Amino acid sequence: MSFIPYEDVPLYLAIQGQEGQYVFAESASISVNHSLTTARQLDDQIFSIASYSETGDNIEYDSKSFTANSTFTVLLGPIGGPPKPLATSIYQIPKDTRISFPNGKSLYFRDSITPDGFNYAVRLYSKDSGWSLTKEDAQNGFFEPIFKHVTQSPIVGSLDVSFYVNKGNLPGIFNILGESHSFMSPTIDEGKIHGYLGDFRFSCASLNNFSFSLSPNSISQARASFSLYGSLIKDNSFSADYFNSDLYKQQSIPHGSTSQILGFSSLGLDHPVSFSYSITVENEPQYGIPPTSLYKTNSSEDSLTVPIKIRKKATTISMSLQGDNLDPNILEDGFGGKKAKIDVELHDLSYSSYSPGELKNLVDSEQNTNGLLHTLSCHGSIVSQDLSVSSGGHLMGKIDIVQNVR
Amino acid sequence: MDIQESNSYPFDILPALGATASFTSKIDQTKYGHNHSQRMPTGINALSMNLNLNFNSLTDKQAKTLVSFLQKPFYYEPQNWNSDGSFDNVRVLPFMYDPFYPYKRAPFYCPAFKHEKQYFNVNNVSAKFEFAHPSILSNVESNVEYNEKIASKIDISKLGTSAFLTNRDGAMLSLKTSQTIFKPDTYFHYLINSSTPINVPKNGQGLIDLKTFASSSTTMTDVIIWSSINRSSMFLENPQECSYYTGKPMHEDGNLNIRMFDFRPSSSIEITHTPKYLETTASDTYKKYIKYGLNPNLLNLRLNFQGLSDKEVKNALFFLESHLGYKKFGFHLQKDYHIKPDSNSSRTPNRKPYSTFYCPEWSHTFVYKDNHNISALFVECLDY
Repeated sequence: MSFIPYEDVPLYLAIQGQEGQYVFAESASISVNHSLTTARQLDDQIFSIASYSETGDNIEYDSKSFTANSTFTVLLGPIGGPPKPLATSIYQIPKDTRISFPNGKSLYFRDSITPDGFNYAVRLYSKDSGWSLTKEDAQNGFFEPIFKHVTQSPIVGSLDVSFYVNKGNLPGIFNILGESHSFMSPTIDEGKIHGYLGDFRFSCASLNNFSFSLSPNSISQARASFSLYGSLIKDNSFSADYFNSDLYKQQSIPHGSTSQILGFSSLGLDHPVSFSYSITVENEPQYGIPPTSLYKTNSSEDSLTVPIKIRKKATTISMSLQGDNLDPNILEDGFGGKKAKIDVELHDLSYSSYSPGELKNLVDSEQNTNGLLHTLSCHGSIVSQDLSVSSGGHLMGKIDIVQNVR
Repeated sequence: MDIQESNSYPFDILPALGATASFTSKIDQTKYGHNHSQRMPTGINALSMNLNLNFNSLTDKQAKTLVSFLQKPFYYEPQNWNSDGSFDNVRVLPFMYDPFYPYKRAPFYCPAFKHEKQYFNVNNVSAKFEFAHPSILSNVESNVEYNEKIASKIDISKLGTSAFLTNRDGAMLSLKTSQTIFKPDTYFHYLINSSTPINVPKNGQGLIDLKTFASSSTTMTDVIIWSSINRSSMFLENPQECSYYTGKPMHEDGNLNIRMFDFRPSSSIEITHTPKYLETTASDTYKKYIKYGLNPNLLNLRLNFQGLSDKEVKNALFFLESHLGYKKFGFHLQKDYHIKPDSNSSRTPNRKPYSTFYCPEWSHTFVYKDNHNISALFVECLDY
């Protein structure tokens, strides 16, 4: 048993039906949760003795004098019968569980019981001798079992990752607009994502939110959050040889020094200093109840545990731009909101530590001279304008733009 | 949507969680004095089943396929001019549908459905499926009395770690895992543990794995078991899997001739009392209330049974179905309503530690795996 260091916990993501890739993540976390509730039943903690007869031939209550540690059987239920079984809201009654009766009297379960709906008769014992229960007292036992929980809905969870965008992963795994290149119409990619965090595998995920920011002279991180569906599975074989993967080769990542923001001048900014971008997708998992012939209570891979599809609904892009100025005329295009069209071109640093000869043999993602990696766009309406200044600083303008994509 | 025509149900479209099956019986009731009554079904189709299904988050293509399929039975077809000189009616035909657990494949009509376009390429369709012509004759279930056409009498003895059984009398047995076998004349039970279903004909023999039986030294004879292949349900798949106490429920006044509904409702319960009384009509403003007579306060209970497992819900549904919406059964009210021991105070004459009810309507909701709810109306009746 040992703690696993950060560098030995790779994050691997893949789109259904495609080869995946390792993500250069600074942090990642996974959680799943299970919506459970107890289904308590009427009088499920009440212990009522109908009779001490083993066979049920004599359902009348005849008082019994108890002897220490001798086992006897009782039929449960109201005096006079018919017997009534233990409640099925109980998961288990451990052996030796105490049943308290009025006036400080107690009996104990001889066996551990998992109620199945037919436990009309149970075996008990007393720890003391020479006492008995009246009819009235025998109906008023009380015990504390372990209650059963039932599942209310499928297992869901989340994967949150802070990572470095590279040339390969944006269009694929972080397919932020969800566009499909297939010939199907409409061209919305609703493929599931699966992957691993360390040795923990998940089989179904969908991107909820992707955000990215850029400022001068810094490499930039992105954040993404996924919804997970279904349970995690531990697979010890996975991380054995990930050291040979692309993760440990040189990555081409965007940098603030070379990236460009286009279209800001129409918003009154002369010198933008930072921008942030986020896209939010409303996902709706589609579960379905299979017909009786295909229904399996314990299956963990059917249409009740893993969604058949994850449907994409509202998709919204928000972009925030900060700079030295802004155009205050927010009504320039009328009350429908001032229109803005901003594109951000993400470039890497365009240098290489390889010789020209070595460069020929490298694939794109292994070199840092790819130039333009990706373009992020927001063509929408301005929803807010902020101006701020503080001691020792400058007046800064900030503009928030929103685009409803779908 | 009248674009595509499809004769078969689009099977890749599954209903969403929360699907509901509702059952209602149509009964004739003769009422006598003192709240005595007698009920009978209005016909062999008196017990009906409706499914309320939501098909959520469908693509446009799926929605089009489903709506077209549901519309198609109602499309116009020319009527035939017959030799009697009149038009033949053109019938709306049912379609075969595989419902959710635990119901069996059966013919259904869809008399009403709603299509909601929720978002771009996201559609919801809700539909009511009506079971086509259910017949109460399809329900074959044993009463508390032994009936060799439906039940069997078996002998069980130990054979190594297994139990050796002989089907001595009765029908072909169909034994499956988790079925219950009660020790004769007792409330002790054993669960079948084996995973392979076996069929044992009359006079046939077989080996089963009975949980905890191997550790006892018991040999059991004349064990009544209901798991015959002749057991049949109107609505449920494999009713042979259902188990109940197989003897007559034991009571101090003699064993009962009705079965007990031994499922417990949820802990939160509401009991509305509307006792019967007579009222003078001599004046609009001045009223006198006069006692009704015997049995003035019979209960109408709306009970919720929540968090039932797959096995429990099937047992409960088959129990209710086999009482066909009008036959009475015993049920324990909550503990407060049990008669106090040694109480000789005057009371409703029929009220005992248990009460008798019939259930004219109930509904089952598939909440999630191994989690089902049943809501049922229990109407109290007299036990005679």
